[in-house]
Amino acid sequence: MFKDIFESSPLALILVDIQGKMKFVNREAQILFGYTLSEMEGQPIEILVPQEIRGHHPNLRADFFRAPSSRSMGRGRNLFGVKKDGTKFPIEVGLNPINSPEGRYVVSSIIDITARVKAEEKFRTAVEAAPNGMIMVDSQRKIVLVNEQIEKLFGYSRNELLGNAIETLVPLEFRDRHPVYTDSYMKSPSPRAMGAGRDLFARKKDGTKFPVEIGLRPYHGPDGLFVISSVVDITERIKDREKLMARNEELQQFAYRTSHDLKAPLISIQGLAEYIIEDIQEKNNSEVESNAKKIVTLSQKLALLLEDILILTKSDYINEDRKEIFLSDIVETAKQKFEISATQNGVSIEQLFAHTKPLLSQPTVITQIIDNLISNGIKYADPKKERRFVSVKTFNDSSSFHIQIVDNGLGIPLEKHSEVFGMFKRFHLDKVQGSGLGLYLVKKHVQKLGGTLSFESSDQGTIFYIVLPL
Amino acid sequence: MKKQVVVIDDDESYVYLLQRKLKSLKEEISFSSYPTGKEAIEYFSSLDSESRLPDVVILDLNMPVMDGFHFLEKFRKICDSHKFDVPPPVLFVATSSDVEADRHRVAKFQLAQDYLVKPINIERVAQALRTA
Repeated sequence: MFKDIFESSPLALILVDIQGKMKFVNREAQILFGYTLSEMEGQPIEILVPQEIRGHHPNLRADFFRAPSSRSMGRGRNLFGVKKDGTKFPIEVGLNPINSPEGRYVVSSIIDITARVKAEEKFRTAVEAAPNGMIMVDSQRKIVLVNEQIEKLFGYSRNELLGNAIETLVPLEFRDRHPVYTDSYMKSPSPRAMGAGRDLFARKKDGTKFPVEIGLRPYHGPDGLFVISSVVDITERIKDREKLMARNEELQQFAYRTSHDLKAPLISIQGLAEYIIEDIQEKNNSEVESNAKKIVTLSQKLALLLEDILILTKSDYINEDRKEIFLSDIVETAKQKFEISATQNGVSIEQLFAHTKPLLSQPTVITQIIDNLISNGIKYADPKKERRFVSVKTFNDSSSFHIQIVDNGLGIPLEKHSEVFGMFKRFHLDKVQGSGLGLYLVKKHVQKLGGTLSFESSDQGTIFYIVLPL
Repeated sequence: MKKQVVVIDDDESYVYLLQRKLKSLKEEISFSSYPTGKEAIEYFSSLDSESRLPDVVILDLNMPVMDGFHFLEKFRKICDSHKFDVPPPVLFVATSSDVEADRHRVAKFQLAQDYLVKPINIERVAQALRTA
């Protein structure tokens, strides 16, 4: 009766005595290992054990008989069986001690888990292949699986994470609350993004906090509920978004200010023209002449502003080949361009070149930078100073080309230093108003060339420092 | 007595136009102008409780050195310090940009009677001068 039950079990069963000899092997076990009954009965169980642990196996067996209990074999280790033909295959083994008058035995039930291991491998491969960080936690919030991306993202090795609470990866200030969120998710799990509408952060091993996007998906396994999270580092995305927002803000500013600065002189021109008509009828010639001159000045100002706006809008699209730049040519041309205003303001344009390597860069961009800075130096010359100058100086080291535009003009008021490179900033009351776009354009250009721009300014004058990569 | 008008605007042509428009009014007017908020604040700071305040101030917003907003901030402080025994003069903002955000910023100081967009309707100023 007992034997019949043993025989007809769908599980592979082997009865082993205290010496490790197989006393009985059911049909399933014979099929599983590929032996006939006679080939197995009376043989040591070790013939079914892989070569590499065969020697160690009797000790393990002895340990079991010393403290027999129903349990699974080799907890936490991967077990393998060996078929008659030598094939190794993954198994799960249950052990049950039997005490009978004839002696002590153990019934081993053996399950071939090849299919399960393959499925697990597939799952693991898929998880590793994911471009995102993937973490699986159990219902106790313990991390049971992470992929390589998570190790890279957080700076932990997987052994440091497995078995630990998911809160290890949560910034300190949210750690207390996190279990509450997790528990509520576990109560009604569904695939969704974590913390909709909130900014999420994660914590690296070194304590750094970084913004993340997290997707959650429940997995109902045989061992209960698990949650699989995919984690994406969105630091770059946020930076891009901020850049975009800043650009947008800038664009709005630009539209607002250009419309203002274009409209204001037009309104004046209209008003002046109306008075000219009136004055002509009253034959008030001197007033007509004076107002006509004002219109000319205003029109010139408008034209300059339009030109600057045009240069600025084009600046993003200028893409010249790098060529050797001859700065002395640029400065000479600037002298001619600004001759009238330089003479009026008594400013001399000077150059002092000490570079030993040629500057390779985009000629139009460099010219606009130098022109703008020289023209500023002329416009904001300090009439109180006897000798007024704008000087272009150069030198280089092994990696950078330095250009300095030095003047002894009025200087930029200290409280305005933070606004210098903003759009439409004017710091002095001048007869011929600048567009307020010059330094903004210079900054944009220098950035475009991969360089840096800074300045020092006091009532002694201003120095702009341009450093370009060689 | 002549009505006093103060214009704070860096645009010389506009100041000229405004002056001519004011001259065309029936009112006898004395006219003075300051090119930025800075000079205007210096002028108001130099006044004492005995001085006569202007009847109308016309203020531009977009000026270098000290813009209209900065002027309003400083002028608010002067008014709050009870420097003058009389209420502050009627103040108009006159700007070429009609922007909601600027209107709000101006309104916060509770100093401007109106926000006028250039070219301004001089009748608004004339009314204020008649009742001043």
